[in-house]
Amino acid sequence: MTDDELAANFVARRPEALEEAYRAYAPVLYSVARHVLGSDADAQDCVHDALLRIWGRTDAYRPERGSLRTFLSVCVRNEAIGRKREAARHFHIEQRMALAEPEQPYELEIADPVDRTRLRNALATLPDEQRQALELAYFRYLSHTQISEKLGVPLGTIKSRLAMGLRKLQNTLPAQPAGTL
Amino acid sequence: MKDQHMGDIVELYALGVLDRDEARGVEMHVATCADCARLLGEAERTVTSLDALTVPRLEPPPELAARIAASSRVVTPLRPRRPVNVARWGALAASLLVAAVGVTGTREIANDRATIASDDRAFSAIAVSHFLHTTLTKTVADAPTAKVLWGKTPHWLYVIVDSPACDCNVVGITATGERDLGTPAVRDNTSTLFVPDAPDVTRIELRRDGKTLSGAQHP
Repeated sequence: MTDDELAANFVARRPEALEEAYRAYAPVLYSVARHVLGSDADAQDCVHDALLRIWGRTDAYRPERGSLRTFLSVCVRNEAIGRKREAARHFHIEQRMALAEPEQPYELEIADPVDRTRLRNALATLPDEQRQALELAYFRYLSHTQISEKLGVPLGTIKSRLAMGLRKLQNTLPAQPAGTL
Repeated sequence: MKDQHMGDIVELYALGVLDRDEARGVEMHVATCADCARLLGEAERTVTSLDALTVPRLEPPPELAARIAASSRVVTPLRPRRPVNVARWGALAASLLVAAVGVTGTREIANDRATIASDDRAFSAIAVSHFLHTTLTKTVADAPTAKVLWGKTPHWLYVIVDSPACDCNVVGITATGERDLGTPAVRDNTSTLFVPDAPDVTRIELRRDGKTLSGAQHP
């Protein structure tokens, strides 16, 4: 079944559409959740709950938003980030996580040297302040408020830097090769 | 086009930096706005391109598929909400509330229903209009974290305080003075206040016993 057919079935609310979508995109969804949460059990719960939440709302996905794969992937990622922040808040370590913990350079977490170079080149096209804010958002999962506090920059400025940085990356990131995540 | 719709917030949603209330507002709006859906889709594609470079591919355990299949059979999709005429809905909610108070005669139940009605009106407004959002700047250290959504058309306000017991009221500052907009009501772990019509408010402040805790200027 093609991606378009999967999306059409999803929009039409065919009873089997959610299972079909999960089967098609399971490695992507699970990998994203596992990467954010760092635990197999948490990742399974996250993917399950995110998909069921989406399935419970008929207006959640519309074709104008892009591919069903991208939509589901971002929904799972946001659910995972929300859970990570909730857990941190529960244990009262949010501030420590955001402000004080020593951080490994994100590049060390990327195993493939080709991917690492591609990413480095794309981020190098951004002004330093946009790159810095994006790295804290994307790699450290900080909220806009946390980034603002960490960098000592007004929240509105951080929002603008994040948005402009992401828009610039749209033009500089390599197209997603088939077969990759 | 971006300025006429949700501005930078779609990129912030795609990056996952919004909190749950803000994200919910984006989801509800995008469900009814094709232009914002396209903008969000572009931002989401960029995030998934980053994922392709940074996230190791893993195979999920087989039992997850069975779990999702079983759950999907018992979840009934909700019907999509039609766009709502906020003024008419508000009048209806108000009349229902009056009836509820008359029947029950209890303050607790009346407050619950007022909160639900207020939030439904807020979410209806969020879904059918464009808005900006601002985090309130604290002026005292123990002020609760709070944010405000500013509706563009019509000019509504939705204040979300990250505390179920903020014990404070919201004051709107206008060109000619100020007025009390009300007290946020408890909703789960937050307190919320929806003000359906506030075209003249240029700034809001959270106050407790007359003392300003935090404030935000209309962006």
